[in-house]
Amino acid sequence: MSLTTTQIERLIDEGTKRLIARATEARTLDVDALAPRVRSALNKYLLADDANANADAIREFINTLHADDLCLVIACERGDQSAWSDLVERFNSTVRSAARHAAGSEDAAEDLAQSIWAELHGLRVREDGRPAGKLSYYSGRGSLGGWLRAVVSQLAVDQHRKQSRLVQTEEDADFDRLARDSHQGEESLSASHAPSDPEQSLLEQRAAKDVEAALAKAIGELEAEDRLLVKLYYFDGLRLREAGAVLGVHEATASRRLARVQSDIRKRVETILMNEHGWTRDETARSLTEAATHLMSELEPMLTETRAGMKD
Amino acid sequence: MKHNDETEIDLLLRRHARSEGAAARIFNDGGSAKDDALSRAGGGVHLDADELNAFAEGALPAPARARYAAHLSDCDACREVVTGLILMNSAANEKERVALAAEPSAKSSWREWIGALFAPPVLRFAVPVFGLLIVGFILLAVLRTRQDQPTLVAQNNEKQIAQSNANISSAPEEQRAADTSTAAQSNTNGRESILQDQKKIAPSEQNGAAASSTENAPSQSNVKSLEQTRTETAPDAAPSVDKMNAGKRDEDRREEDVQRSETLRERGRARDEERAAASIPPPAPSAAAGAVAVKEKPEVAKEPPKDQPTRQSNNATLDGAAANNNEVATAQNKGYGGAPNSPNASLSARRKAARPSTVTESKSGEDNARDDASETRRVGGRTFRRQGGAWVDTAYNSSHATVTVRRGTEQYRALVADEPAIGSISNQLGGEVIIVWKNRAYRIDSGAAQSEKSERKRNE
Repeated sequence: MSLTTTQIERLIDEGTKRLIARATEARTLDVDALAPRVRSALNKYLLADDANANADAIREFINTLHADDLCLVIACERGDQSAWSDLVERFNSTVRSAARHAAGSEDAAEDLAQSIWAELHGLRVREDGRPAGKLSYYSGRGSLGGWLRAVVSQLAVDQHRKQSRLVQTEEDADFDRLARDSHQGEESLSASHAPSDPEQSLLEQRAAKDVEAALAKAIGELEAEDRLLVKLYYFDGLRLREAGAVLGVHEATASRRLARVQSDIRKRVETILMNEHGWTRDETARSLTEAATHLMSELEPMLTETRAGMKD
Repeated sequence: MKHNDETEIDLLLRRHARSEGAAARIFNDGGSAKDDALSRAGGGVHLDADELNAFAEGALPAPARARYAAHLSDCDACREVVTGLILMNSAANEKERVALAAEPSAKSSWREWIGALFAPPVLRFAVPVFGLLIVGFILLAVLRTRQDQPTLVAQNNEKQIAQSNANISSAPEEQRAADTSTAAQSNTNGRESILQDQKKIAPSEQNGAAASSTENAPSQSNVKSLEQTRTETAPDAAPSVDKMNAGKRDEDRREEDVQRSETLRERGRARDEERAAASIPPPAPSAAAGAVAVKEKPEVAKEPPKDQPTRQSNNATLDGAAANNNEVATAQNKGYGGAPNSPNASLSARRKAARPSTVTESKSGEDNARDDASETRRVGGRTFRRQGGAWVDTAYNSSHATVTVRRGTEQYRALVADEPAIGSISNQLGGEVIIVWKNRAYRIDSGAAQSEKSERKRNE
């Protein structure tokens, strides 16, 4: 049975009072100052996915908000200078550390950190005359230090992506060429084979396309976290330990999950090729083997050059 | 080269990832910076910083996390930010963990310290160790208790010895000899820690010792030497092995003193009797023997004499001793032999005290002489013949080395302790007995027989 709006509001008020009681430094904030931020976080992270959440889930959600961080941010938004001083004093090192991690040089890191503080304080002015900064987007769900690191990372990624559109690395160019050839599907697959006849070559190209399509479809049909794992491991090149950290699991768990995902993908690809493209089982197995063999023969020289370049 | 299924699909996925990534770079400019900024502000297709951070810290409800995981799997930019955040947090947490581990734990309170003692890993080893310590303490206490028991027994006996010493120092001369032998006897028992032996000592032997000691008047110097010996050995009551050996050495010394005193008593008695009148009849013949020292041995429990003749002769001796005391008192009152306290009075008293036992013995000897020819007994696997009032082992001849041992003395008790069969035989036969034992002749002598022999020697 879903809760009414009144009931939800009552739960929000009660939860906000408990949140103020939990805070070691409430900064003279009252329920009226905090309730809107609590309501926004509740709608964003709980009620958006589960509109029929019960009272216990709502209470649990509010009880796990970071009370001290939320009170500090709201006090800063209200123009409390002592709160701003506390914010800078406590989190300046965090911002600088994140900036150094994201930026390529010390100067870039310093610039990035200064940009972050400016954005936090807000360069624009709201209608009520108060600066509109990014602090208003902090919900208290995660820690304030983590949120600041996320802000720094986002800004660094935006700057990197902007620069990357202008400059392409040599390694990226090699892979781009391979991908272009693979996308067109004709020359890369037949590089190690003498063309027998045009019809055979066309069949092989078509088979490679079908395999690629089946792979894409199989990956798209995976569960969200399984697909994320595939993206993290194969597309982003993370190690299993790092991919497990993103998913919040141990490396061994990530390894077992990846093995299961690989098996699921293969079965799904075979099913797609047999059902949608009319292949037999033997044709499917042979095609996949040939595709993998061709890929190895193409990638080995490139991988060898890459390793030699890394050693230099 | 044959690839297994996992390897094949792994290669295919890697190829697919490369091609997809290159295609995205070539055919998509990656979005504009403006789009990126808008999405960061929460108004676009990308996740904002709060959502990314909440996902990275695992602070999202399950439905929200699944939603954001789906977006991240499709959005390279957001995925890149989240990956960077998580790896940055992991590195920061690892650095903090290392710093905390390197920090000394001196700041922990005493409560945390006590709590650490009771942590399961500590208890796993501490409890067995404490258990072993407790068991060790219990065993130690039990062993000490057992060791102290002989000490307690020795202490009790020491008290008896001290009382005996007190009695000796205040008693008259006639009683001192009895107390001396009694004290020496109790001292021996205390050393050997056998209380039962004290209880089982034959009353007849004790009385015999007392009766024989009344005939003897040890010199004060001998008594003093014995007292000194007791004083030296009395405090020694520890039951340890070394103290037991020291006790034995003390016993040997004491035995020598007793023997010396007995020898002196005999000499004194012989001198006195030489000066006395020759109205004493000659004593019954008995095997000639000198008093030979016999090493003191631990006592063993002896059965009281069962033989009627022995008991009757002992009773006769007791009656005779009582009669002696009366006669002494009478003689003293009548002034027989001079003033009551004069040496002659004492000498005559001693003579009279000896007379009835001698008479008794002589009477026994006359009776035994009539039975010599016919009376034989077999005791302890040996045959004894009645000769001159004594039971003589048929295996005895003059070539045997003879040891004279008086009943009731420490030598006799030591001999019986060593050779219980001798004690049994002598008790069964009673009176004077000559036993051949291990190629040696033991002449078990009662006190009357010894005095009778001395009289015979004087007469000769």
